[in-house]
Amino acid sequence: MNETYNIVLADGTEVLANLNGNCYITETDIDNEMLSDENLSHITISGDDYFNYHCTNIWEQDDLKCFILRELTAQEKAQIKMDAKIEFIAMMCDIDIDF
Amino acid sequence: MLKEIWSMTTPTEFTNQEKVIEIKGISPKFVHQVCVINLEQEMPELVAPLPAFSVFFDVSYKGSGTYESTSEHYLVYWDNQTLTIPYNVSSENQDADEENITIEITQMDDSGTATLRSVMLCVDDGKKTTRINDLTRITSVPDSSVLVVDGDSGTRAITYSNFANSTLSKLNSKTFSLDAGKITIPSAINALYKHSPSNDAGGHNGVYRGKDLGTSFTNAMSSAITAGTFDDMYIGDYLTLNGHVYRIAGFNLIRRCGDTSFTANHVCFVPDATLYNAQMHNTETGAYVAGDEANTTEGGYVSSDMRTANLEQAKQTILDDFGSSHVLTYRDMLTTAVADGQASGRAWTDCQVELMSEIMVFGTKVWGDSGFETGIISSQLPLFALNPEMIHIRSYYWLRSIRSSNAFCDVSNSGFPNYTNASVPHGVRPFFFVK
Repeated sequence: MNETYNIVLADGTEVLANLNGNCYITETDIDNEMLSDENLSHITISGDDYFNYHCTNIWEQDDLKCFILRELTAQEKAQIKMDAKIEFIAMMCDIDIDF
Repeated sequence: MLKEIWSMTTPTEFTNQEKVIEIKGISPKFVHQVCVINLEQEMPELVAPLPAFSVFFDVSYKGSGTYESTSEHYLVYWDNQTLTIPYNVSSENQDADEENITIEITQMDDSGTATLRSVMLCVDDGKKTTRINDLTRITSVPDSSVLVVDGDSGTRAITYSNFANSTLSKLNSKTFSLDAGKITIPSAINALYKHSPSNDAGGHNGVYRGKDLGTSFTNAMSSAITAGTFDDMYIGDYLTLNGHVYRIAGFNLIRRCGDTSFTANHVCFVPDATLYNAQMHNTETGAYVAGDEANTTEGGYVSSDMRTANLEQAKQTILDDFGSSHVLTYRDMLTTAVADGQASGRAWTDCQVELMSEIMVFGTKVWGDSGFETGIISSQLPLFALNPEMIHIRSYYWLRSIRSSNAFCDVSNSGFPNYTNASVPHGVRPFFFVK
């Protein structure tokens, strides 16, 4: 039995979607840019706040858009923090680095 | 048994009160002899208490020795005009050359005509007149029937009911060699009964039997499944339908599962052999093609060509073999997406004939290492748990679990858990539920 959720992204975009398993199914025309890690850094799902989410898949099925969200793992969050610190140090040192 | 050695069977009338019959030259070598005289005369109204005939029976012997003669007198009554005279040849007379008999019959009432209907001399060979094997057969014994028992107190009778109770009482206390002579037969039966499987899914899931159930799925089987008693059906039992061997793999495996609770009792079947070969991801030629495009698991098992197209043939075969009304539809949580080479999404999906997962076959995740792989059947099928030999069919067959972005899991022809690129044709060995 599918339940309907109102997902509000970080930029304020609202997506109304049914949840089947861990697959959200919506009539909204979503894409990777809309569901980027940045736009999923803070979302609300039916009023509850969630932070640091990631979209693993987006696909189309029966003229509907399907997508899967998951929370970043502790290791992924630590990696993001470390990358940010290294980027800050590199900036202060005026060094260009590629991640 | 009486054996006739001489007879006179032509009826002779006599009205002169007396009839004499002489029988000569009989060999007296038998110990037990019988003379049967059959007389007839109409009974007068007022003389009923009186005898009808007087018979003198005289036996004498001839030979080189000295022998004893016997003379006896008999009365024959109106209501039974047959006279049976037993006489024994004494040991002194057995060596005689011949036996001569004189029978003098006298009418006690001379008002009517008497008839001597027959005279027979017989020897009694001591054998019973009827052998047990000659008796009329019966198929059941009424409790009131009587059996003959001979013992120290003489010959007695016992009803079959009492005989049966007595025999069972004897057995009740017998131990024979059960548990070193410590357990009686009823105790042993009770022990077996206490440890026998219950007549439900739980009991039947624990017994591998492997019985041939025939060549048709019967109404009786369907009724037993619907009732949840699964009578005469156990793990490993098999049906041969239109040449396909389907084996019972489990009972009530998905009961109370699903986004809506699945309530029907059911039996899970798996074919012994693959039904045909097919690809998880189709190519134009139907043969393996290298490369990511031809070998993809994108969209998970739900979006695979196997599930969207190639399983249709198996579904039709199974519906034809069992009857469409007996093959159940249900809802399972199947993989819908793949990320980083692992299943990343799952959704409730309508199912009927599906590929098995690694867990269903091997009892554990092997190459499909994602929690999303496990739907509502989260344990090994009892068929494979009780008899692992049934996993191995010397032929590759696909499983629905996802190994990578290119490969699905399978069972190798050598028996080990394996994975193969999606465009390789492998065997289709599905499972399904029947009611």
